[in-house]
Amino acid sequence: MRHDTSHEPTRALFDELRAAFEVTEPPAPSPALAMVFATGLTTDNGDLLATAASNANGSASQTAGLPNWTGRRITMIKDLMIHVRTRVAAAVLGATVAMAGMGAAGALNAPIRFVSSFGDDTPACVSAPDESTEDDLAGDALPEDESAACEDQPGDDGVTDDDLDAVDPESASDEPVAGEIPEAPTTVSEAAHIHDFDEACGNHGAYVSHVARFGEEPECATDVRSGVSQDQVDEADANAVEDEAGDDRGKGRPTSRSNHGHGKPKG
Amino acid sequence: MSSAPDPSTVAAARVGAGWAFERLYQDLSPAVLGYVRSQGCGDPEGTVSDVFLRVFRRLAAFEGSDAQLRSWVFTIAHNVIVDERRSTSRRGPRQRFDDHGDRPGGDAERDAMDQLGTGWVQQVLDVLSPSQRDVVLLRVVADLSLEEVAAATGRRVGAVKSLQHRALGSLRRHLNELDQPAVSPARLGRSPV
Repeated sequence: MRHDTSHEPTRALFDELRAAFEVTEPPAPSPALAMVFATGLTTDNGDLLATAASNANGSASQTAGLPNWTGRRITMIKDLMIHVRTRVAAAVLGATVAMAGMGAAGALNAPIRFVSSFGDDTPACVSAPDESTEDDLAGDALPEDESAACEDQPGDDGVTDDDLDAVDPESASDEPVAGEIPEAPTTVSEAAHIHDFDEACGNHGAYVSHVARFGEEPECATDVRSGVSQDQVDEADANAVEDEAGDDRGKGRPTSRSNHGHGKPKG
Repeated sequence: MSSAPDPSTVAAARVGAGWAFERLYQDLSPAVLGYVRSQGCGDPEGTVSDVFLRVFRRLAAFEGSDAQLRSWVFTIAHNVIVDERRSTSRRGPRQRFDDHGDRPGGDAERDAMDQLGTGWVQQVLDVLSPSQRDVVLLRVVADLSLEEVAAATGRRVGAVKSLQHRALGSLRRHLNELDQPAVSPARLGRSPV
């Protein structure tokens, strides 16, 4: 202490104090401190305050040992996703085949237009049987947008209408062309693939079941083949009735047939 | 007042150079060891190692001149001693401060006399309160200024002055009551006839 040493005993005590605790040699460092002397220290973040010479070019690459379980987990997730997609695709395919089979067998009451698509961005167009009446199904079973969306969907053979247009006419002469009426079916399976008379006969199931039951097409199909439209038939029938009933009867008896293509009658 | 550490050494120690740590340890550890012993720590050498481990770990964040580094080291030493006091008060004393059983020394008689003198000084210092004792030891053994003692103990300079004044008064009264010279028996035995 450099102040207030007027008291001689006190000053002597301080001199004695300094002498008693005066140390000239540094003590032996602890093992931890000796390690610090040898290797330096790291910061609180775990980084070296000074880069050791052995790490000047970066840390050594890992040669072996630790499992790369992160990559393995990613591979497992990918495998799982592939498995799930495969199962979903199989389920969709099975449903497609089942629906087609039911339609071919006439087990469905409503006409089903089933155009399946396996692409991710093309919607599948399915008109499932519901509570609609026959007239509804014969008319606007499919909304306008759905019908439009399904027009150019590739079928089972993956051929679209554009593809058909691009085909050479000569080479495609044996193939059914859109708008042509196919020949009369001889088997039920052939009838199941003909949809040209669905509207005329009410529904596809009625057409196919008639072929299955009687071995020939129903009258509604033969009328279409003969070129007589149902509207013309109805009009002729109406005229005949009008002639019989005279002028006091109403003109143009409306029938459910006359509403084809116009949806459900109002009222 | 001891000289400040070499600036280049301090700069190297700030970035974690081991050789700089070792040089700082050689320069500062003797004085720190004396202060730790004067405070009656059970394991002075181990305490000094703990002090310097703390010093080196915090050196990168130390903001001060190289001259202030020495007082900063004693500040950390004082905090370590305070922590040890608190833990000792909970667990009980581990070892007497004057039990330097394995301290190296070539002259057994001189070592014995030193321990006797240290014991006498310690006996005199026991009349002081812990705060007065801290101030006296930091001023005398660590050779710190009033301002540095104030910084080390976390007190204002005026409070340190007051503690020092009362410590000196207590020591005077105690030495007068003892009615003996303020020189330890060990030193009297060594003094030339």
